[in-house]
Order: sequence, then structure tokens, then C-alpha cells
Amino acid sequence: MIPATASPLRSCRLLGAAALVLLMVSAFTPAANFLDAWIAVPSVVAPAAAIVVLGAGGGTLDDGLPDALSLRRALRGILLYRAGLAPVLVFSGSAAEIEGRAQMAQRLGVPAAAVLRAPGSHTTRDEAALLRELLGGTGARRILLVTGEQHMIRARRVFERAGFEPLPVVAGGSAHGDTSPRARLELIRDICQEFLARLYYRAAGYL
Amino acid sequence: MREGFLLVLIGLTSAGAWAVGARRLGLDTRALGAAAGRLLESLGVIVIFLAANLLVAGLLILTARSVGPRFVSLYLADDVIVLVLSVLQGLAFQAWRGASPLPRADGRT
Repeated sequence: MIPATASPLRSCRLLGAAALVLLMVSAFTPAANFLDAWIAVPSVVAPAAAIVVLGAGGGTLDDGLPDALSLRRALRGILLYRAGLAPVLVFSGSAAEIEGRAQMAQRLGVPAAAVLRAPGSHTTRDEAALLRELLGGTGARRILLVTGEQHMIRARRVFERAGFEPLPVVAGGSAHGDTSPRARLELIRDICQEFLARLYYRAAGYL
Repeated sequence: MREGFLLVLIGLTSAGAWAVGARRLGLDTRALGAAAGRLLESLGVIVIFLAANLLVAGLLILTARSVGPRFVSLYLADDVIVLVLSVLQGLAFQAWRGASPLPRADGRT
């Protein structure tokens, strides 16, 4: 007689086999890099009314600089400003993150008057609503939207819904070219995480 | 290059473990198939624990957001320790199952 536990165990075995195959394919083949390149949004660098650098969920480190992901986004925004692509550079995110970014921008030659702060938002949707309020009065519609590679798909749609015409500028995403197993697994994690976030936004009617 | 090195490394230590198990400890090499099956079962149980942890975390955070005064980020559950603890949960569950007598089809042990 087949034990009562045989069927669940068989399902566990199949699930385990699927997980193992997925792990090996993700870590040891370029599948993650191809998937990333396929869903990536290309950057569009052109003159706009403002450069908006989204928060990266981080703060500042002991040296007062933003953490790695936040730093990359901020630097991208600063370089866009220094290239003369917009008259205003807006930092969004937590108060500590914004302050660290703003101080860095000023040290790198961005005038204090050109830096706008948009603190108090917790989600991408919050950021879009807050920036609509902040920039609405200036008539700024076309913005250079700076955020991470995976986040860009959702962020761009949310900002379009908020009435902006966002030009995507990717910063701080996972590198297509990094083929180490660790980088590929991180890439798959980021893609899955952002996929779930998009599902949530769709279910909540935000997209 | 790096992938190849890592695969060779794992292959070498696995071959070493096979040699020690078969020659020093006298383990039955024919039982390797069954052991692989148990490994896949354990992996499946770990995946179930991981999915359950993430699902419950999501539900708890969304509930806290809707009833609590402060914003709680969904990224609270984005920590590698969740994976590590899910592995421990899965292994503990499998150890518990291994230490328990198998139930019969009629539900009695």
C-alpha cells in the first residue's frame, strides 16, 4: 500500500528538482543576463524641464555619502545637470538620503538654488504624487527620470499616470555584463522582486 | 572562467566526499539515488517554507500599513536571512519527518 505521505513527498521532490534546475540555470548560464537585456528600458537622454532622481530606500553611510545604489542614481542626476540637460535637479526619498545627495551635489558644483528636495514619500506612487505637487506649479512635464534598471518600467508608468512625460535614464541597475553566479542570482532576485511589485501595483490599480 | 572554476571546485569536493563515504565509512553507493531523492524533497520543503515566509510577511506588512499609524515597507522582508532561516526550517522539518514513524494510508501510525 502506498503511504499517505507519498503524494506530497513526490510534489516536494518535483518542486525541489524545479528549484535546483532554476538555480543552476540562473547562476551558471547567461539566461539572467538575456532576460535582463530583454526587459530593460533604454535610456533617453534629452533636454527636459527637470531631472528627478528617485529614492533608493537608503540613507547615508558614516561618511555622510548616500549608500551605493542611492549614490549611483544621485551621480547620474548630477552628471545630467552638469551636462546642462535641465535647470533643476530634484532628489526624492527619505530625508537623510536627500540631504546626503543634496550636499554631494553642491560639492560637485550644482548650485544650491538648482537643487529641489522632495522628502516624505515611501513608495514610487507617493513619489510621483509628491513631485506632481512640487513641480506642478512650474509647468514641468517633461522630466529626466533617474532610477534603477528594473524599477524603471514601473516608475515610468506611474509617472506617466501622474501627468509627466518621463524620459528614462537608467542608473544603478544590475550590470548586464557581470557574469559571476552571484551577480546573476542578484539579477534574478531583482527581476522577480520588481515583477511582484508590478503585479501588486496592477492589482491595486496604480498602473 | 569563474563558473567553470566553481563547478570544478564543487565537483572535486563531491568526489572527495564520495571517496570518504564509500571507502572509509563503508556507505552503500547504491543508496546515492535515494539520497538524491531525499535532497530534492528537502529542497522542495525549503522552497515551500520560503514562499510561506514571503507570503505571510507580505500579508503582515500590508495589514500593518492599513491599520497602523506608520508606513511599513515591503522591503522589510527583503533580507538574505529569510532564505537562510527558510533553509533551517526546511531541514528541521525534514529531520522531524525522518525521526517520526510513517503514517499509514488510513491515517493511523
